[in-house]
Amino acid sequence: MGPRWGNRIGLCLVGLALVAGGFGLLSAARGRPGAALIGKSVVDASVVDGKPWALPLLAGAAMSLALVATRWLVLALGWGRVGSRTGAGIAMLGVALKGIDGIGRISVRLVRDGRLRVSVSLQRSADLRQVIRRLDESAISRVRRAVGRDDALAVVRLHVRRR
Amino acid sequence: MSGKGERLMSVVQGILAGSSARSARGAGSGSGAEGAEGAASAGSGTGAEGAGDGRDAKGGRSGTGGRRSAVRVLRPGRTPAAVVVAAVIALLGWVLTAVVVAVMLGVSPPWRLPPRLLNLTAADPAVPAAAAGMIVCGAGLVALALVPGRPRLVPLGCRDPLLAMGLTRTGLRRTLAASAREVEHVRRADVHILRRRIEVAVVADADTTGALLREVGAAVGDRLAGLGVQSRHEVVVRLRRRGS
Repeated sequence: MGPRWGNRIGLCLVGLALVAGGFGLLSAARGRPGAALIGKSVVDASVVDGKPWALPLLAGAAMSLALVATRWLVLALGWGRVGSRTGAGIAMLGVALKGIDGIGRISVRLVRDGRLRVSVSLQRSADLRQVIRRLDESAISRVRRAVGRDDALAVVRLHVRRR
Repeated sequence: MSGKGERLMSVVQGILAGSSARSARGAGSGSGAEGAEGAASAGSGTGAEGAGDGRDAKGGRSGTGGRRSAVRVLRPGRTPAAVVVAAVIALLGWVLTAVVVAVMLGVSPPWRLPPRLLNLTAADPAVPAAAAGMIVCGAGLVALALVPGRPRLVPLGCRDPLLAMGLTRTGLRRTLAASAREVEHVRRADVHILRRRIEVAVVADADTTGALLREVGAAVGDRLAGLGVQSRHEVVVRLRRRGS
């Protein structure tokens, strides 16, 4: 059961790039104090005059960067992580938790990467300890079997309501 | 009432959840098979780890590996920062692509860089400031990536190795407050969950002091241990008695 590293890796790379860029900018400014930061040849695009491959290459690099960042954005926004509700799983969880008072809302979601996200909200009067034991010992494995994924990693979120 | 009248007695009990778990399980052992099993396993756990480290009384049941993986799964995913950074980079990338493609096609882009930016020399004081800003932001992002962060859900111990169970912070607060309120003479109990401590502020209507605090601390610690909360929190009980 591994954690999700994607966001952290992305943030780390961007942070390192920013730090490197900052130091590069500092050293460049120190080296040529009088020079313009953005050269004349860059502004009127004459820097690429003798190199016909430069612009397509730059366009390709910019586009792949944009595509990767867009994909990251979509994934970070929760695409494929929310999952879909499974009626069979919810029904089985309800059956498995039968006999415990004070169960509020339950939901079971099946995430694409094979995880099972279970959320149970309890009323204040509920016996939390009993719910935890029941979930741990039988309910989750029964839900797994009902959903058809016997060895799925299940993440359970428990909440206690105000009343 | 408030101010002088309210006497704040603070007792740092340092009740480690496990040390009171032993008594709880011992007391419950007569009630049935489950209680007996719990007492036995708690005993084996403390026996294996030594009496000093009673915090991880769960150790006998699920092992520290289970605790760690549950904590890891429930660790924050840094979603807000990732969304912001990814959005900024995606925007910059698409704008750069559009500009380069426009230059390739010979179309002049609809806007140009402002002359102030074009006339900027490296001696400008804004340049080191910008560089410093970049370095600080970058270091912040790296720190955000490397620091584990505290889980959104308080992890609970469980036997199933493929199960990560967590209780919301609010949920834990409510259930701990309820357990403190069950103690006699406690009129009100507020629970705050801090980084390393769980603070229980109790308003009592009796003339008892130490005994009540101990009782509340034991009740809260027992509840923590009973739920199998996998955290290294210290329980601090404060008695806030109405003025005499």
